Amino acid sequence: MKFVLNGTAQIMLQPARFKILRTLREHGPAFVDQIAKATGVHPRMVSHHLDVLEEQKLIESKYELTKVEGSKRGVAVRTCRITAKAEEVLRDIRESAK
Amino acid sequence: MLGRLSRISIFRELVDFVSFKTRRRVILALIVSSIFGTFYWRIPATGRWWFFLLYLWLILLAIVSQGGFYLNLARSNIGTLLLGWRYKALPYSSPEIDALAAKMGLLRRVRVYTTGNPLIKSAFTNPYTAKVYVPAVWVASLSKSEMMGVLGHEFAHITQRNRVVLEGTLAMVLSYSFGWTLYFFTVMVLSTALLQLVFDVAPIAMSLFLVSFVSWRAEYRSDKEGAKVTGPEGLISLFERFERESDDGSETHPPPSMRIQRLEEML
Repeated sequence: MKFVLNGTAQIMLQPARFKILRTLREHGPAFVDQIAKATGVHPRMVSHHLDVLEEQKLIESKYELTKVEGSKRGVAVRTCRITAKAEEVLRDIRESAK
Repeated sequence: MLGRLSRISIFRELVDFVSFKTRRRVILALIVSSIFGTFYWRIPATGRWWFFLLYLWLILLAIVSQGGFYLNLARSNIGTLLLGWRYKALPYSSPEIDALAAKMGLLRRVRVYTTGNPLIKSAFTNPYTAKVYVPAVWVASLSKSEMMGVLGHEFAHITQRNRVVLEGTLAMVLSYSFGWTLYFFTVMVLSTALLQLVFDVAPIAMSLFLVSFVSWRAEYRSDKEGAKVTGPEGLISLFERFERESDDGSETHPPPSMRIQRLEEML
C-alpha cells in the first residue's frame, strides 16, 4: 500500500505512462521512437512521460549509439528499461485492488 | 495570417460547443419553435395550447441543461464557505512556481494555496484576488510537469481576465438584443402580438448558452496561454487522466478530448 498512499501509483497509472511501462515490460529495453510506434503516443509525449517515470525511479535510461533505418552513421538514442521499483509498485496496485 | 487563424478558431470553437451532448437539438428546437411562436395568434386554439406546452417544456429543458453552470458554481461556493473554516487553505510555493509566475508577469501578485476541502475537486482561481486553489490530493498525485501545467492554466485565467469580462458583457448584450429583435420583428414588422413567454425567456435561454460559450472559450484560451509557457505536455497528460476518469466536459469546461486535440497541435 506504500506506493498507493504516497502517490507513486497514481503517477504510474496515467494512461499513456502505463502503456509505456507495459511496452517496456513486455518488449524489453527500447528507445523513444520505438516506444512511440508501439504505443501510438506522440514522441514528444513519450519523452515527457519517460522523464516523469525516471524522476520516480520507475525506469532507468542511458544514451547509446545505435544504427537506425535510413542513417549510415550510428545515432545516439535514449534507451529505457523498467526498474525493480516499477514491478514493486505494480504488485502494490494489484494488492490494493483486491 | 494570425487574424485569419483566430477567426477560424472561433468558428471551430462554436461548432464544438454546439455539438456538445444534446445542445444542438435543444438550440435547433428553440429556434424553430421561436419562429413558429411568432405566428402564435394565427394558430387554431387547440394548436395554440399544445404549442404553449411544447414551448414551455423546451425552455425548461434549455434552462435545466444550461443551468448546470450555475448549480456547479453555487455548489463549489457554498462548499468553500461552509467547509472553509474546517479545511484551512495552506500557502503552496516553490521556486518553479515563482519562475512560472515571473514568466507570466504575475510575480508577487499571485498566491497559490492547497486545500483539503473534499467539495473542491479541481483547481480554481479567483482572477480578481489573484488567488489560486489546488486540491491537496492533486499535490500528492500529480507529477511536477502536470502541476506546472495546471498552474500555467490557472495563471492564464488571471492574465486573461479582462477578455473574459469583455466577452461576458458582449454575451449579455447579444442575448438581450436577440430578445428585443424578436419583439420588434413581431410587433413592428408582422404587427402581431408574440407570446409573452418568448420575450421573457428567450433572452435568458440565449444568455445561458452564450455565457457557457464564453466560459468554454476562456478555458481553451487559458490552456493555450499556459501551454505557451509551460509546454503542452503536462496539461495533455492531466487531461488524459480526466478522460480515463470518464470526465466528459460540462457547461463551463469543454471535454478533455477536445482540449487534448488542441494542445496536441502545439507539440
